[in-house]
Amino acid sequence: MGEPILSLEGVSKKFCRSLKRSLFYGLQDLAAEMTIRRRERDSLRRDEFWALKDVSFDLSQGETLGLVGHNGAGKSTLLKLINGLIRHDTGRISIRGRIGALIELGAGFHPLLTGRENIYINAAILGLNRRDVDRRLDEIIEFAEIGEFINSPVQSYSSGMKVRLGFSIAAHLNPDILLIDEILSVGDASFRQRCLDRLSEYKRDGGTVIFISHNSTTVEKICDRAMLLDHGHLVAVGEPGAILQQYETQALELSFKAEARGRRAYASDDSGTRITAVEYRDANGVKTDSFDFGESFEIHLHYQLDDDVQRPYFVIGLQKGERLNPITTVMNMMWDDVQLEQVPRRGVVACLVKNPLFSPGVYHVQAGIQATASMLMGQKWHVPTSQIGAFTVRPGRLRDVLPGVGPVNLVYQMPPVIVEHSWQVSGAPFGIDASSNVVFANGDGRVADAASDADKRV
Amino acid sequence: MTQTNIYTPESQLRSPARLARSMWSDLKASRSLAWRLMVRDISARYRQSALGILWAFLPPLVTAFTFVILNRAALINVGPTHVPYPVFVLSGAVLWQLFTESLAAPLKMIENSKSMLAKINFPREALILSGMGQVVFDFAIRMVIVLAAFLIYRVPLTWGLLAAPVIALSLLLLGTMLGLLLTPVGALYSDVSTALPTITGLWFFLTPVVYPSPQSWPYSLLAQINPVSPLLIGSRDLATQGSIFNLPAFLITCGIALGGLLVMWVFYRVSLPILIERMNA
Repeated sequence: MGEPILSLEGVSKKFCRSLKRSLFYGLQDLAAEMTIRRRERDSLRRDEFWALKDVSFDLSQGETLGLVGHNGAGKSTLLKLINGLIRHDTGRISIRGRIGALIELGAGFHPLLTGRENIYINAAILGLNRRDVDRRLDEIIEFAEIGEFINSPVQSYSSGMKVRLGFSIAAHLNPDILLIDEILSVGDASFRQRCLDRLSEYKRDGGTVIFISHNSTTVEKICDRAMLLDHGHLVAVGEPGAILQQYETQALELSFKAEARGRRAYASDDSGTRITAVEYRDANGVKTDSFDFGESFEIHLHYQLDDDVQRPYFVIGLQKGERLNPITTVMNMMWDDVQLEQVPRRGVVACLVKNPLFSPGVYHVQAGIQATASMLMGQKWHVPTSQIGAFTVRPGRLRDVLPGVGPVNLVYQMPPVIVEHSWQVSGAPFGIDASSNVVFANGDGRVADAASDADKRV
Repeated sequence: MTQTNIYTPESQLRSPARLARSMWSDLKASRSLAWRLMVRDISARYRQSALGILWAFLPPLVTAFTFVILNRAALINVGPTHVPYPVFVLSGAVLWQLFTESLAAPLKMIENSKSMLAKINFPREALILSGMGQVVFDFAIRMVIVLAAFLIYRVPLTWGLLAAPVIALSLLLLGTMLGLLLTPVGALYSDVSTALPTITGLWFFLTPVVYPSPQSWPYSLLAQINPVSPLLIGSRDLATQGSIFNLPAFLITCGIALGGLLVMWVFYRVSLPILIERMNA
C-alpha cells in the first residue's frame, strides 16, 4: 500500500452568496486565469464564504470513507473538487487512478429517446465504450428490471425506473475511486439493497469509495471510516460509529436550539401544567448527559402543576436515534402503580433507570404528565409528551456489563434494546449467569410488559 | 496505478505542456461521445417534429424567397450577379446559416448540458464537437436544395460545386471560434445569448449574403473587414463559378480562423471549471 490513492492537503474553496457578485467574481477569475495572474485566494471577497476550509485527509486503496454532515456542510463540494469539476482556491489534491462518480444517475438521458438508445448515450458520457456496452447490454437491462419498457421513450418511465436504468449503467463502470452522492436514497427497498450488494462487490475487488449519505445505517454498514464536516470544516475523521454519534449529537443540538426558541415564544407565560426541564445524573449523582454503556442513571423531571391537578402520573419515553424511529421504551408511573398524593405545585421527579442495556447512541427523551382534575369530575386529562432532551450512551463492551458474554464490541448500530438472556440446549443451561429468561432494559418486568402498549398510546 | 492527477489552484496555463497533453487526450477520448450526443440531439429533434427534416430547408428558402421577391419587385436593387439571383441568394443564405449556427452552437451546447457539466467529468471537447457535427448535418441536408436550385436554373455544374461544401467548412471554423470566444462570458451572463440574434441579424446585412460584394469605397470595407465575407464569397464563387477569386483574403481568413480556434479551445477548457462553479445547475 504505502502511498495513499487520494490525498488532500489544506484544501479550501469559497463560494459567493450573491448571484450578481458571483457572476462578476466569475469574470474576475476568468481574467486572472487567462493572464496567469496569481489571484488573491486566501481572503474572502465581499459576500463570499468558505464552503470548505483547510480540509486535509488521505485515503488508501480499498478504503471506504463516509462523509456526513448537515446540508451545506461542504460534502458535495468536496466530491466536486475531487472529481475535478471545479477548482479549489488553496491547497492541493492528488489522485492516483481513474475517478468515477455516481452523482447523477442517468445523466444525459433524453426523454424522447428509448431506454435502449439512452443506455448508449449515458454510457458514453460516463466513459464506457461501445463494445463494453454491447457486451453487457442484456445484463444492464436485466439489472434495471424495466422489462419491455426498454424500447419506450424514457419520458414514459417512472422516476424509479429512470434511476434503476441509470444505476445499472453506472454499475458497470470500474473506476479506481468511486464517488457516490446520496443516490442510494432513491428507488425502492429491494433496488437499494441490490445497489448496496453491487457496491460491496466493488469494494471486495479492491475498489475505493467516498460516500455521502444521510442514512446512518448505510454509512455504518459499508464505510471503514467516516468524516464529519460542519460549515466547511473537517470536524472529525474516524471509526464510523463514533463519528455518526458525534454527528447526531450535533444535529440534536441544532434542533434543540430551534425548538427551544420556538418553545420560549410559545410558552410566554409560565403558567400551565408542564415539564419545564429535564436533567440526568449518573450513578455517582453527577449531572451529565452521557453515560457509560450499562451504567445506571437518573432522569430528573422539573415540573409545574396547575392548582386543579390531582394525582399526576409522570411518563417518560425514550427514543433512539432519529425522531421518526419508534419509541424504544417507556416508563410510566401509572403502569408502575405509583400514586402521588399531595404533590407540590413545583418540584422535581426523579426516575432511576437501573442497569439499563441501552445500546450506544443518542436517545431522545420525551416526557409528559397524565393527571386527573378534580374539577372535571375525575375525568382524566393529559399533558402531551414533548421532546425535552436527549442523552448519549457511550460505546462499551457487552461483557463488561453482562459477565459471561462473548467478546462482542458494541458498535453504533445495535438493536435498540439488548436483553439479558440465556440459551438452553437439551434442558441444560449454560453461558451467562442469568436467572430470568427475559428482562427488559429497564430491568423491571412489569414495565416491560406494558412497554408494547405504550407504543400505541404515546 | 495508471495515472496521477494533481489539482492545484494555479492557472492551468502555468503548465502548458500538461495542458496540451490533456487537451489532446481528451480530444481523442471525446470523439465517440461527441458522435453519441450528436445522434441523440438530431434524432430527438426529428422525433418530436411532424415536418421533420423540412425545418432544415425552410429558413434559407424563406430568406431566399423574400429577397428574390424584393429584387423582382425592384424594391431593392442588388445589381448584376454571375448566376441567376435565386441561386445566388439561396447559396448565400445556406452559407450564412452555416456560420450563424456554428456561432451559436458552443453556447447552446453548454446551456443545454449544464447539469451534466456540473456533475460528470466527461471530456468537455465532446460538447463542441457534437455541436459542430449537428451544424454540419443540417448544412449537408441544405446542400440538397442548393443543388436543386442549380439544376432548376440550369447553372453549369463544375467541380467547384463538389469542393465548395468542404471549403465552406471554413465558415464552421470561424463560427465555432467566435462562438467559443463568447462562451465564457455567455455562460455567466444571459445577455450574450439574448443579444446574439440581434447581432447576427445586423451582421447579415453587413455581409454580402444577398448582394454581391460591393466594389466601391467605403462599402467595399464590408468585404474586407468583415471576416465572414471572404469565406462566404469564396465558397459561393467556388460553387457557382468554379474558382475562388479572392484567394489571398480567403486563405488569410482561414488561417486566422484555424489559429484562433486553437487559442479559443484553450480558452474554453481553462474557463470551464470557473463557469461550472458559477452556473446554477
